[in-house]
Amino acid sequence: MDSPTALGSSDHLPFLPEGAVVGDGILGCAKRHKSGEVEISQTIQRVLDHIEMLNPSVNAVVDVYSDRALSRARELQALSPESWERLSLLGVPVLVKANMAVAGEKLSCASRLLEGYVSPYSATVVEALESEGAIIVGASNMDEFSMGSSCEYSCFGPTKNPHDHSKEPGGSSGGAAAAAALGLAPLCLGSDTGGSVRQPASFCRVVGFKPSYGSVSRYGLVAFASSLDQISPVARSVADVRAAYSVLAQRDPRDATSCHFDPNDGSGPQSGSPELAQLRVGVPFRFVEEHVTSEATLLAFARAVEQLRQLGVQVCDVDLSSQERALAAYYVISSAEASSNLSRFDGLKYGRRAEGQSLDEVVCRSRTEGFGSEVKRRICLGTFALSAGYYEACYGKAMAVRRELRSEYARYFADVDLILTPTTPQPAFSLGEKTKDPTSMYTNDVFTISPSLAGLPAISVPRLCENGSDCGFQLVGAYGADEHVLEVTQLLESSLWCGVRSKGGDR
Amino acid sequence: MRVSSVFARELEQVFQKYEAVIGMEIHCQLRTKAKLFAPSAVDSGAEPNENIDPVTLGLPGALPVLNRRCVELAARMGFCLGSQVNPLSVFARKNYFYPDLPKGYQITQYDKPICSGGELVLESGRVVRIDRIQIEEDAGKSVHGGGRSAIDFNRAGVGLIEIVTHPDLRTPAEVQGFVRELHRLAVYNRVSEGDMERGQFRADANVSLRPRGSAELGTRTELKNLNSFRFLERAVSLEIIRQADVLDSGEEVTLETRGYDSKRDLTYSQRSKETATDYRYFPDPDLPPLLLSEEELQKYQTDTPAPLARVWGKLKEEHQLNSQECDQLTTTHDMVEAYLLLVEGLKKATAKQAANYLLSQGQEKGFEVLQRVSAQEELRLWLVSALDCVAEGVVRMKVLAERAEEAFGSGKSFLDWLEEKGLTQQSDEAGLEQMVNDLLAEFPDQAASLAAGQSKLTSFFVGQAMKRSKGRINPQALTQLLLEKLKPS
Repeated sequence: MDSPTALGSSDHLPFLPEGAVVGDGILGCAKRHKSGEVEISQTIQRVLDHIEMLNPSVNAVVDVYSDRALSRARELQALSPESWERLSLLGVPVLVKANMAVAGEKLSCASRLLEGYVSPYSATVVEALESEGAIIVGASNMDEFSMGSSCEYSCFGPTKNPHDHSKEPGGSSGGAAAAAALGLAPLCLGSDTGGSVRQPASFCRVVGFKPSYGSVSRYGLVAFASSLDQISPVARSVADVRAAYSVLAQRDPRDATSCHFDPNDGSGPQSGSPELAQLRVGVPFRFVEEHVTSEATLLAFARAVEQLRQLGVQVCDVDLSSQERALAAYYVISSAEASSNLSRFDGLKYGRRAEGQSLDEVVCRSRTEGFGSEVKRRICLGTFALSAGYYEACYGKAMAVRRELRSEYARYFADVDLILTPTTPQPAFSLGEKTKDPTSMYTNDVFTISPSLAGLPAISVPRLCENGSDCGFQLVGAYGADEHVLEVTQLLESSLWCGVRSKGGDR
Repeated sequence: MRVSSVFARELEQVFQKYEAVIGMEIHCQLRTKAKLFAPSAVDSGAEPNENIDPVTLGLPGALPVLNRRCVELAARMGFCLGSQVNPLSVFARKNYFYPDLPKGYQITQYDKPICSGGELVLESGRVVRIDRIQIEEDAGKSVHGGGRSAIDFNRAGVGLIEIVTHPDLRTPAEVQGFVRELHRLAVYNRVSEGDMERGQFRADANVSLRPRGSAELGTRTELKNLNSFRFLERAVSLEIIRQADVLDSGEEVTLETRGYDSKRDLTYSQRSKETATDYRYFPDPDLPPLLLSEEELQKYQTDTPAPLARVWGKLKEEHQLNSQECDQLTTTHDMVEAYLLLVEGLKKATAKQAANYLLSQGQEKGFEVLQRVSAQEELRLWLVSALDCVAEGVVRMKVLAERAEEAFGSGKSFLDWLEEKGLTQQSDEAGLEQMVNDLLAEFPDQAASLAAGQSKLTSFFVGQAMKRSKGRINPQALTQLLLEKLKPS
């Protein structure tokens, strides 16, 4: 199972619908539209049909924008072939996580509280994709307001792991990862706050890339934790994720935290074609051993490291000592920000309003009835962390840990190009396994959280474990080295990882 | 002054026993086209909910982006007050629920404000130290009526500065003086329109009493949203007297927020501070720290108009204007600039004459003239020559003041126009001497009395001369000649 040839096979792939448009990736899809081989409406109709056929068993998609998508397809089809040439994603169907604003469509964040709310404007990423000819076909399931790691905390019910319906798909962007795995769309957008795209990508055996904080605009992404949230592409190959990233990454005057480097001009650190023989990869061996809870994951990881060495990559040990405190810092910071970000949902201006005799009662009941248990838990946690008298002990301390972590990473990246860890301590867990024990759910983020706190680019690529279960590996790069991370991962993908790959694609 | 006199006796009694300690918080709306973090227009005359957008309404996914113009104006206010304008400041969230607060938090500044320190010296010599100036956004407006409530979000997100002082004020009159002076500065420096009726300049006063001679501060109350100078002084006076009554009766002042009811003329408790919300301030993660480069700071400082006090002093000392004239001409920076430009061009006329002309028809008319003068070079030059004509005694000021519009409209020089209309004064000595001789001969009794020192008879002769010459006589020249003739030789 572990030889490169075996890894390259697609035995582990979930059932792909016949004629799935994901076959040769997003650029292949656009190419077929440009050449006139396939009409855009045909592609969209096919995607809509597949969703209708396959989604009921997994519940990955919660809203389908049929009218919008089909009319957009007709508009694009009517353009001249010269105009088509300029659109890199011509007719490419995209599913967005249910927390991204699409003008005229419902924006639910999988919460009862936003019931019936329709966004009057589109997120910057939606505009960016549409301006390259992509078509948003619907919204994918998620944990309510992105709070969760299993996609079980959704008002639409849980999403199931397409590889094994008794397992959860990871979260919070579980719907996006499951949809990508099922080939419902060649590109899905998730959002990653502490691993919300990387972890489900790992569990669903697809590729998920969290860019450097600030390189993709957050305008129109409903905030969970503003200083951590990052819109992240999920797809079946590194090449697809990379193609999507090059469209998504741009400075946005509507987002003040939008990046300070231009991800597309090659000025980021360590750009230029990487050679595997010159690559230095850091591995926090002790940290990995301490936190991985699955033998299979540990074994698969050790083998992968060995394979890297065989490819000529220099592997060295890094000591992630301050990472121990990252998890606690993350839950303080993200909950603090969330408690404030979610204050706007008072039931008065939009969404679901509860009945009440007084203003206070309306607001209180709207929130009590509208928010689910995990969201309430985080709001309580965050409110406490920011309270007078506790601020310094909680929030202040967490921010100090975060600063320490950043400088620690900066030191590592003087010596290594990338840092490798498993994406999660264990393979996908069973539905309901962790919802009764929130802190055990939280520890599932132990490897993904610290790159988030430091704002670093991090990608999860899939690989099978010995026992056939899934286990993704995470590669983390220096801040702004997004292109470098993607390039190296793509190089490794073909020789090392068993990504979900196409048959006879154009790569 | 008029107001305090109502309470003068009561206050005097209170002040024999107690000292009032008062600090101020002033909210001043910044004069900008767009809101602080949102693209919508700032326009207090708009229809309800006309100036809104996803950011203003705090719609899911919307993000704030700082309007740098607000920073510039806040820094300018800081430079005017001698504050330190900080190269690094931080926006923070102040969390509380209120229907007119769309995001559930207000973006403001907390431990790192844009300006720190500074002072304002009052006419009385009292130095009021500025603690800080912070930039923040305004809330919307709740409208209640008919058992329903509605919210107008036009004002939500409009940029404000909050100016916080140390508790350095001691009397209601000082409070009013301070707020008036601050308002003058804000308007003069184009930081704010300062329309108090529209809530563009609002004052809160923190008032406490302590026994005379005590160094400890007493428990304070906060008087909120005092939106006229008159109410301000009145409310503070009432509160001082109320607190004195409380203390005199052996009770304690409660830490609370109070409002002023102008109809019933009393202050009333709004909410107790003890049950006040914990605002859970923390740095807004949507906004990076606000950094001001050396160049920006320098530019903002250079763009700050010369201190008002200096300009005012120049008008008073060099131009010999009275205090009221100085006040009127320095209402705004634009106005004083236009006035100075006009004065600079004068050859024979004095600044005082120019000021007299401008204010002769009221301050508003004068402002209008100055606006036109600064926009229209031709008018400025014409006005300079016209004022010089007045100074030379060719025509009286009254004629210029009343008929300038018509004269300028004729397209002729002022002198040509005067001659055409037959309005020039007789200043030629021969004609004037003839007139004086005639008058002295005709009114010997009055001439004798004038010679004996009854100087008010001068106006009698001037009046006669005016009548005969149909107003074309130069009264100064006539008076001078008259007195010369009557001087005992």
